[in-house]
Amino acid sequence: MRRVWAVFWKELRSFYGFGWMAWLGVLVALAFGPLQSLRMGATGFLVTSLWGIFGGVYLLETISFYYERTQGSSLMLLSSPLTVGEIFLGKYLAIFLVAYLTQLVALAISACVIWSTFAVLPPPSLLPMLFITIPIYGFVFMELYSLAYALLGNVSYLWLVMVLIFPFLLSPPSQIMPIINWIISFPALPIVLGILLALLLFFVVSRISKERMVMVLS
Amino acid sequence: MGIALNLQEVRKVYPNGTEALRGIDLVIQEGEAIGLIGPNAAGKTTLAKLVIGLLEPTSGRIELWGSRFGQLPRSMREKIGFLPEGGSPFESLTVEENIIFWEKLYGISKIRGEEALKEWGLWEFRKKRAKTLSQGMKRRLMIAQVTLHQPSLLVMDEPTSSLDPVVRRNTVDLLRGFANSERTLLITSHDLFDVERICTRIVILRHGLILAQGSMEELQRKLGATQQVRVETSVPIPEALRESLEERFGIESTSPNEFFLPQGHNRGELIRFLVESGVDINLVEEKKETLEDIYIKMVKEDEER
Repeated sequence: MRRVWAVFWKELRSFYGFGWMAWLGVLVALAFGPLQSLRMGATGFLVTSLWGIFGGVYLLETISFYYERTQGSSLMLLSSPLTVGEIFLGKYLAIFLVAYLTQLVALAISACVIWSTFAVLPPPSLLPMLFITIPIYGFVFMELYSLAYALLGNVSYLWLVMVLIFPFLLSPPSQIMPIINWIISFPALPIVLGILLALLLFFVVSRISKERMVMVLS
Repeated sequence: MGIALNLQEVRKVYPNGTEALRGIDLVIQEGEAIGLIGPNAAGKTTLAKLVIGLLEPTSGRIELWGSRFGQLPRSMREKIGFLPEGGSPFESLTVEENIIFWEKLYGISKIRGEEALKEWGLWEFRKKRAKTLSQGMKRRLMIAQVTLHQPSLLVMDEPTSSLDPVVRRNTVDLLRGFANSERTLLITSHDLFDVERICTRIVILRHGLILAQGSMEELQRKLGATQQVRVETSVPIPEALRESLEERFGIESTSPNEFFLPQGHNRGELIRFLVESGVDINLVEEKKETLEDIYIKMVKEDEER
């Protein structure tokens, strides 16, 4: 764990060194959910949570890979005694932590907006989804992202995922709520599935060879 | 002392079909300082990356301290240091944070990190972000990082490139000190002068094969390298005397007041002859063939084959 902690620490410290463009992106991710809340009522909490986690993960991971690739620092990391699994785990934990905090702040802003506009708060049945299920799938998305990067050398196909998610984020509440109600009626199922998927993907990611990572990142 | 590194019939073919190494056999004893030299695309960097497990050989066997890289215990892997060519420190971090990362990674004390910062002249820059440093300073920081845990095997790809003369001298001194300890050093370089000063054995690579290897003396012997004496006079030598010198000593003139005495001729006799002929001698010096001379000769010979 000492080595994973070292990578986690390095990654968190690196975020401070990101340029203002990167942080502007994170701010946009923060603002999008609460803005959507203005027209969506209680469904706005879901949109905020999804956008905060997925947007945060997407931006932070893109910037992290971009820096490693353009600066050439990945060679130093890969030539250390760290395994690929340890490098990714350290990275994931740091990115996820910041994305989760982003989501929490966005949810707090949304709560204020929705309360002042519609005088509603999220129903208790929605809380596991907001704080557990969606973040787990955000983690899965993060693993898919790095897997795509390592195997394909780029993440262009992930735009397709975003294109699929985007209409969902903009759809009217009447279309979204039946799906949400169905999911929250079995709260444990998506959580267990998400955890299994995250573990499976981590197993696959940690099997990527250093040679492959050298080819992709340098 | 045991074998630190053993490469047997190592081949490396990249996915695009480029055959970077075409069957390398190389045994490196613990405590040896090996200099890998060769023209561009000779396979030096590929070999360095294979040794530290960044690349996998297409065929052949690489053993570190008697084990394949994949089977090497973690404690042994932590005894390896690698400085890549053209890499970079973590630019979003400060100089100090870059060092702290390696401290955390290897479980090294903070004091050792501070020592390294001072040793490499980075102390006053410790709060600066690495991206604001010059190329030479970044290189210095990287060297400080990879030597921080005092590795038993240090692999460095072009260690002295982009360093200013003072830091270059420091680096060469550090590597000479490293070479004199019981640790093993493998460096690739285009700077043959540095390699000559640091390494106990030189390996010349060309087209993915070892062209020659040995100590400087062994390489000189292999090539029948000459050790000449250079003589410089204060005034041009008269034509008649020059002809006589050519006939008697086989000198090779390079300018009206400079010539070389080939190996095998008596230097004392020549000097006596010049003094008796009334020639005012400015300088007499031995000129050994440098690694650069040997390297160029070997590459030319190989091209002619």
